[in-house]
Amino acid sequence: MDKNMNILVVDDFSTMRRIVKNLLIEIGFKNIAEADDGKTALPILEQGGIDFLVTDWNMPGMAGIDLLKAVRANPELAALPVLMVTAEAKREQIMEAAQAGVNGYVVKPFTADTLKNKIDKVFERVES
Amino acid sequence: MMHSENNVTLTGSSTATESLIRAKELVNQLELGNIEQADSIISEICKTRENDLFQDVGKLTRELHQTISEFGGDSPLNSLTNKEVTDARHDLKYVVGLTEQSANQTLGAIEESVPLLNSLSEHAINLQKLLNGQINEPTKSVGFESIAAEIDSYFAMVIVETKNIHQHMNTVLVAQGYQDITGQIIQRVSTMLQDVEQSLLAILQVNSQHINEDELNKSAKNNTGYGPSVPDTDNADVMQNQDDVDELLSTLGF
Repeated sequence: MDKNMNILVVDDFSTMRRIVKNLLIEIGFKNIAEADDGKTALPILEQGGIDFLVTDWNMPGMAGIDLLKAVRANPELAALPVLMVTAEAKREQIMEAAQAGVNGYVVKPFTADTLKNKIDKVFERVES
Repeated sequence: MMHSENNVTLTGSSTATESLIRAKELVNQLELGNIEQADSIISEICKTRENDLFQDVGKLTRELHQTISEFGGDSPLNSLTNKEVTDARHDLKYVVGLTEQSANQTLGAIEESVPLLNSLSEHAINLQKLLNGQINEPTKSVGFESIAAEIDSYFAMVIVETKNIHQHMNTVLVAQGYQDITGQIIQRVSTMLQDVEQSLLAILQVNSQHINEDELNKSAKNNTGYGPSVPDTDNADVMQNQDDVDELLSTLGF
């Protein structure tokens, strides 16, 4: 896993973005961009250069699940690894995210270890 | 305010035997060809029905009127909706603000502390290398005096930076004070909600037969999300923790 990869963190709560960003820095990542919902995230992704997307589900404007579907529908972005970090924990939602092609799913509240493990797993699978 | 003991029901006062007698008489008169007699029996039956209906509607209207005027005056629900719900909204907004402020203070203190800790650690590693060099390969070393000076400046740095980190820790400590305030506010809002629930239940009990269960149970699918679930709310549809999520995902081939 390349620690210099560009990561986009999408969450409508700035405090949660800061927490995720700090944990990613702690893991060793250096290049982290932020967006506050799917609508602002999508243009950043479409510009290219993002290697890993970490997104919340429940956001105004464009929800994380719709962002995931938009990513998978775009041939340029379809292979982008996506980790959902969200408080949404209904069975049907997790199944919907899995069907939409999510690479990992972390429920809030989460620990630093959980986040690290799930990121490791995402890239184990992507790289294998 | 509770009227559950005298619920209005739309049942007629005429008994089944009375109806049967009237019906037999009606058939009898019709068979005899007494159209006028039969008509009078029919209108008699209708009148009884109308009387029953009017009585029931009247009773229902009285009940409703009583309920509405009770709620309209100095009823708990009135003051709840007028003042306390508005207050609660302000209170909860304050809670959101306080928790956000506290999170930002804590995150700020951490973001300031981490580079200090990293720098202390890096300096210590460098000093250790210098010292090991002096011990293992004294000829190649910068010399003990130079190392001693480095150690001295490192101590000065440790003293200053640990004080700074301590200050940041105090900021984190004080920032947790939000829990006391938000806890009390949320408890107050919770008590208020309980009052509203009871008042609404009272209305439900009065009007229970006019409410369509399906309407009450209707819940729309929500694509933007449902928000956080609360643990131990006993909903089989909601994953209680990361382990539950992982288990579900593993059944889906993850």
